[in-house]
Order: sequence, then C-alpha cells, then structure tokens
Amino acid sequence: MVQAKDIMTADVISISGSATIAEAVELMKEKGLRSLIVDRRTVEDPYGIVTETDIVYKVAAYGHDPKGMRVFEIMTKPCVVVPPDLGVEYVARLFANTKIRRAPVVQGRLLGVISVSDILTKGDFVEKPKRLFIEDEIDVARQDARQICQEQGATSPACAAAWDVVEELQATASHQRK
Amino acid sequence: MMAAREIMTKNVISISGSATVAEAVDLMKEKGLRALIVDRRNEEDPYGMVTETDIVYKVAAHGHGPKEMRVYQIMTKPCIVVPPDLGVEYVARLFANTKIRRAPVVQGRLLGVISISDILRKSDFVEKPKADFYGYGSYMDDPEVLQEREYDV
Repeated sequence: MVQAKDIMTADVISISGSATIAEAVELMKEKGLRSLIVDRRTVEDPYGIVTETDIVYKVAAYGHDPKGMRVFEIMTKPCVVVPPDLGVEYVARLFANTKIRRAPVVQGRLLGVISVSDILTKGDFVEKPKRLFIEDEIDVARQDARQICQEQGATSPACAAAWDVVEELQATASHQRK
Repeated sequence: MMAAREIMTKNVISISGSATVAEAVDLMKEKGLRALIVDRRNEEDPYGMVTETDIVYKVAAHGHGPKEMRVYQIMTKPCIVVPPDLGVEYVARLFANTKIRRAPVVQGRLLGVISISDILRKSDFVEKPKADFYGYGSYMDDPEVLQEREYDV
C-alpha cells in the first residue's frame, strides 16, 4: 500500500501563531501554498494549521482587517496529524471521517503535509483500489463457510461454494498487498 | 468591492455525469484542476460539480473502483452558483455560510469557476478590508464560525 510519506509534500512552510493574517496570506501567495503549519511553542506543544479556508471563512467573509488579526485567532490547534507509514486509503478514510482536507505528517518531528490533492494526483487508488477491511471480510466469510458446511454437510455444493468465496477474498487480499 | 467575474478562473472544464470517476481523475490530473463542472443535460437542467474532495471522501476512502463508479454517483447537483457581479466579500460570506470552497459563476450560461484560492490570491481583501459591508458584529461571537472545517459538498 502506498503510504503517506510516499505522496506527502515534504516542502513545508510554518508560521508563528502571533503573525498577522496579512503575513500568512503573503507567505501563502509567495510559496503557492494552501496552508501553513503553525510552529509549536515547545517540543510538547501540539502542531497547528492555518488554511486558505480559515482565512476566507473567518476574515475575508467578515471584512476583518487581515493586518489587525493574528494567526492564533483562526488557526486549528491541535490539528489532526498523520503518521508517515499510514496507508493512503486510511488517510483518505481519516480525512472523510474528520472532514479535513490536509494534515501535517508527523513522527517525533514535522515531516511534511498531505492533502486530498496529493491523494488524488499521487495515490494509486485508480489503478489499484483497495478494500480497506478485507481481512475482516475474510474472517466473516470463513465463519459463514464453517456454518454452512456444518448445516449442509462438508460435501455439499453450498459448502464448497462458501469456501470458494473465502479463497477469492484471500487472493484479492494478497494481490492488494503487492 | 471587486466582483466575482474579476477574480474567477475562466478556464473551465466540464465532464458528463455518466463518465467514470477514473476519467474524471485523469482529466483533473491532466488539466491541474481540483473540480470539474458536470454538463447540463438541457437548458433547464441545473449545473453540477465534482471535486477532488468528493473523489477522495467517497471513492478512495472506501476502496471503490474508480473505473466502475460514475461521476453522477458522487457529484453535487444542483450546486450553488454565483452571479458574476457578486462582490468578493459576499462570495466569501456565501462560501462560509454554506461551507463550500468553490462554485460555478453563471449568468444564463457558465462563465467560470470561483474558489477560495481565487479570493485569497486575487482579491483585495488584505489591502482594502470592508468591515462595514454588512452590519455584523464580531465573528467570534458566532459559534458556527468556529466549526467551519466542514465538508463542502
């Protein structure tokens, strides 16, 4: 499975929580970024993030002066972080469940940022879609097969068909792992 | 106040609702786009849109096969449209209130697409904030505003 670290953007720019929104906009325009990571104040401090959506929804939409507002007023901190070895399909699921579009990739320190765009343009979900919980599906199919064979007999066609289902799932799973 | 038409992206690519998601991904990669407009079926039909978020949330996150799924299964239609003469701050407010990030600009026909990136990069909200364009108090008093990190479509 392609992992977060394989498709993340390693080029990350951070900003201080005390910077003004105008400074954040300037930095985002200059670097062509849609989000900035907010510096931790200490090693124990969580990571934060400020996105173009935060700025448009909370500053531009209200006509607030970006020079008079600070990043800490609109940032998300703590933000959801992704470990570098998380599979891309799991990142997509995490994003869908938490309704986010980008997150810092962190292991001890900040390694990069991963976004829905990275998943779309660099992931392999089109060529190789992966059923995330196929191991669980195999467990269920195996339980079903055992029950069918017990009820209808080990030599019944239904029993053989049920084990075929298990084998097909296992083949799919082993193919996915490649 | 700058109007939507001044900052919108005029280069719009559309796709048929019956196209596969894999075709949509190819088109988005090729053109470097984050969203495609879904063709109207006739003059009375509303516009639709399919975004990279739709594809990641509804296809990739579930391991569905993009070659077997169709655009119409994940698109937003009808989608919110913006008139070309709407002021940029109003577009921002509309986006914040409806929790969307991009919308087609339409007047009779499709003129372009406007997104939060266009607002951030091309509008004058930093140089000329318009605090009095609408009689609102502090946005911080509004609990809704603090939970804006919502799925857009």
